[in-house]
Amino acid sequence: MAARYFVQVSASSKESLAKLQTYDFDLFRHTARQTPDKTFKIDGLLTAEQAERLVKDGYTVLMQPESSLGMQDVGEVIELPEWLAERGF
Amino acid sequence: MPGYLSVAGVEQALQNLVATYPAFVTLINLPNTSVEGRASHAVKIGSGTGTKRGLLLIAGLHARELVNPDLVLTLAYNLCKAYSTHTGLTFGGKSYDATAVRLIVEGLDVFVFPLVNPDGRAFVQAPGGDRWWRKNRNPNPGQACKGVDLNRNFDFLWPSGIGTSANPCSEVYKGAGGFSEPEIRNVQWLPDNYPQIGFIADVHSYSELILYPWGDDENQTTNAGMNFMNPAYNAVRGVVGDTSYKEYIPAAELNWYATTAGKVRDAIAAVRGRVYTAQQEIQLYPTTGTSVDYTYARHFVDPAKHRVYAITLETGREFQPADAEALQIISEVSAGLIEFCLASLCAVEETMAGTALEKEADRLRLFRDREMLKTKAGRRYVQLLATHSVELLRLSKSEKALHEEALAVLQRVAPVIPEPRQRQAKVIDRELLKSVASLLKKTKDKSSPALGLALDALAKDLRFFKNRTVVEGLKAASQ
Repeated sequence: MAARYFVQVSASSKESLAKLQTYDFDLFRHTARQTPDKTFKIDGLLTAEQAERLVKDGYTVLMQPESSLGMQDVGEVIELPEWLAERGF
Repeated sequence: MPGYLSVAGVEQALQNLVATYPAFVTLINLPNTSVEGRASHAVKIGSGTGTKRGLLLIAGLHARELVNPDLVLTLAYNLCKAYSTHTGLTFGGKSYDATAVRLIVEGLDVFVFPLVNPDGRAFVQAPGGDRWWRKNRNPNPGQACKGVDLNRNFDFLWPSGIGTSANPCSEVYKGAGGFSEPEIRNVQWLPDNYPQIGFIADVHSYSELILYPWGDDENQTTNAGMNFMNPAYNAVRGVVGDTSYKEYIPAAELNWYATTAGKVRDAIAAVRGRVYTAQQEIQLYPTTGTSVDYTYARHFVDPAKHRVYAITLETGREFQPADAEALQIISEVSAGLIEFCLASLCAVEETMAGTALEKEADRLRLFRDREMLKTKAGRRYVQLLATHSVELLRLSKSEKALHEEALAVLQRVAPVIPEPRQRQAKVIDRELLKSVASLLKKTKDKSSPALGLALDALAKDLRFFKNRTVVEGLKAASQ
């Protein structure tokens, strides 16, 4: 599987933001917002190839390496007794 | 070592909850196993007998949003523990007293279905899996990619393709047909089999949002014919910002959503200061096939079904927050969901519960929806009840005489409420008005200033009902 990166995609207009739907990329719909500088932004999870395609089509893509988000190792699951104890149950 | 519950852990947590609180928690075996054959369960939390309103919490539709199944389970445990120990609940800066807990557990059936998509979560948490997997694990035979987006597979405008994809490799692949996926047929099964469910919260991540219908287009409250069932608009639906189509929502229901979403937002903010945004689902992108639109749409499609108010929460600022932040999110959203529970209570239904009047509840509900909400005064009365139900219920729990008088008044009011299409309704006599006025006064004497003002206004309106039917009185009070 190709490496993926958390990205922030900037579009210059509402129309170009709406057009992002046609790419079938992993963009997080609920993060779409208009910023004070009048650009439209949306977060997503893209491969480098997908990001390049968007840049080529006029979007600005800010990429972050997956590891930069400081997330815990999700393979590490908590057992129920510990989960209950952590919550005082 | 901190982390999230595994799929087996979620199941164990449900079983353990039932074993710990058998007097008021029931296990529900859901009818469909997942695509990979996993069984799913929900629980019903509710003490006492009689018909009660139902509220359903669902989570884990999207596999990578790991915190939410743990969140709704934590809330379920907190609620049960507080109820059984006669204590309140505190989430950071927001507290609920033991009476609020009691009102919820005794006044509602709270259904919790914490993990709708077990296969997806197992894949996210498996060594060699994909921690950012979103969909279920349907192999999509004959296709290049696995998985269906479960929150695009509900049968609400499913054929339209608005905000969904027919490409199995897409993260928003809508599947082979509406309700093609067994995991969401389990969600559908709950309100089908527990028709008391009138409220649903679907918990997702992320973005710190509280969302309410509709998701397919912007809302409008004036043209009931412009709606998702009308094929005349099929070609123009789903465009943000245009004027050719907007989705119809009754004004009173939109008002309930906006008011309740605001209460949920305020409760969340009180915990540690994170201010979620309450808004219509559509935002900048339309979508279809979602849980919230499907469940809210049910009573429009089939008027025999009860109305279900449905909201989505988008918790936190990332899919998989580290432990300390996850616990904070669980705390703040728990407060929001407790507020949602309280907003779901109805003083009238609760007063009638367990009495001979209970069988009249459906008829009264129908009258509210079909007659009261059509008039300005009726909407005012419905709003009063929605705003002050928790306080009225508190009074009812603490003042036995007041509770009994309220029940006696309801017994006298019920016969003057006409059946649907009844031509000759009963006229309201002076004695009935006197008993209502007496109840309003006694309630006011013990109420907060805000409720007192509302009751004063209601008392003034009583003159419009003298020697009139209820429908005539509503019209007169609306002028």
